[in-house]
Amino acid sequence: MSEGLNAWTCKGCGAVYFPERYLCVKCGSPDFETVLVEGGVIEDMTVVRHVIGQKDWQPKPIATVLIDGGARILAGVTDDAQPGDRVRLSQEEQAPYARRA
Amino acid sequence: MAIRPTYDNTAVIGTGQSVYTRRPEPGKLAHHFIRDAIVAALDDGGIGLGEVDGFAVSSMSIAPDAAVDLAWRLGISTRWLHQDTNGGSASISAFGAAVRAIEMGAANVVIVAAGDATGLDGYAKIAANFNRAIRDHAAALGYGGPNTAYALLTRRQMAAYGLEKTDYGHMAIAQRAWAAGNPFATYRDPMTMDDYLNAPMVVDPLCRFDCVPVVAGGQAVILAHPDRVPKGRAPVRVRSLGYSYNHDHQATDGLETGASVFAKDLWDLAGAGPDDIDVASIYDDYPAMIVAQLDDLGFMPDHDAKGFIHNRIKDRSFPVNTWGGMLSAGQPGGHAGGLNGVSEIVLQLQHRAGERQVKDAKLGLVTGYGMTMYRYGATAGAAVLERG
Repeated sequence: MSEGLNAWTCKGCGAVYFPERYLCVKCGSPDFETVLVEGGVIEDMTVVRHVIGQKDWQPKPIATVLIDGGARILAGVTDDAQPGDRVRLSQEEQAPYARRA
Repeated sequence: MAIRPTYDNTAVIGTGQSVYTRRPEPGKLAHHFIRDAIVAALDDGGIGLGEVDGFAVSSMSIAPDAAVDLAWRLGISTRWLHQDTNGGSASISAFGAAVRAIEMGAANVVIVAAGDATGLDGYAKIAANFNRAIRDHAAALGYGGPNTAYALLTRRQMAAYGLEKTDYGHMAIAQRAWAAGNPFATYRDPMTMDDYLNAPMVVDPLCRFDCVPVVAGGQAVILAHPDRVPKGRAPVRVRSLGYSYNHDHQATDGLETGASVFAKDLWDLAGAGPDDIDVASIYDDYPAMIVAQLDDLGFMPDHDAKGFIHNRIKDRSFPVNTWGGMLSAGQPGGHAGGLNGVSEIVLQLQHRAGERQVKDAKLGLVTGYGMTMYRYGATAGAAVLERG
């Protein structure tokens, strides 16, 4: 687990994206660079209690997080953070996680 | 200047489906279910396999085969071939492509087919590897499939529209009542609000009866010139088609679907509006998405979803998903599930829908919605069909 989330920002206009894009929706630029986003706000949240074909599943909280810079992402929630809370972002491989800031 | 298309040379000639089963026998593939549907549709339309010169198919479980492999194994030689990958809108997308192919002279007799037989384990694998975004950025979180995306969306819709869990329950219960009239439906016994509210929670706030049961099954329709319609049967013609792909780049709350983009054109080209629709198949992967599409298409005055559910859906005075929808009949993959919606409107407009027949149905609507790329569906399609 590493601190912050690797997102992508358009070199042309600064728009922030996650996942990666190849052309900027806002300005059409093909040039992006990675940017480490540290935080965001939880907009809504659920708990995944059952998954088809899985036995011994442990409930997993997942949230929509509006990250700093503007993109909406899906993130796993690792503590008792709730909708409306400001969160710190981290990532494991390419998967984003959030905890109360 | 935009072209105003007409579809005078095309009608639906026949429909057919396979059995739907929760647990397919070992060795029974999507291919077999698609075959069974095609055999039934050819028989229904009085069309010989050798007359077919166009073929469209969609499935998420025929890989590594593709459309031409199916054509080979089914003994179909064509001059027009199409494989549609647009999930819950794949079949309405393929249906429109087939209509346009016939109108442009690319084919005369087209089979549009779909089917899946993933099994439950196969479904889980497909769900976790749905695309790069889900595989790389969501699967490890315990995403587990589209239930998670629509749980979050349903929460947003409940807040925006002032809906409660029981409102969605009325929709699921009404569809179960319709399913009683569909001999192919997987679940036909009446459902009560207690049944709905006491069902296990799957992904909050979605309970078991908000999530479509995965089944194996296939669907097919045959399109050709209206003079090929079997004697004594009304042709079903296309009034208008509408499509949208990646309407909002997954950047909003997802409460408006791609149908919001084409709704005005769909009705303008049809020369009709929501009040003229006698029967509708609204793609029902989740009750919330029925609400979203109906609102996008202008069925809910003042966006009053609660009022529409209680005054039109609960008492079934507005006939929506008269085959029980995927929520009760089962989801044989989103592709065939969407095509079942088409077949149902065809049967209703031909007055062949048996005990679930909507009296004097003349104008019908079919929608598709699919490809939950990340946070909600990115593809949408619709057709206004008429008894001609």
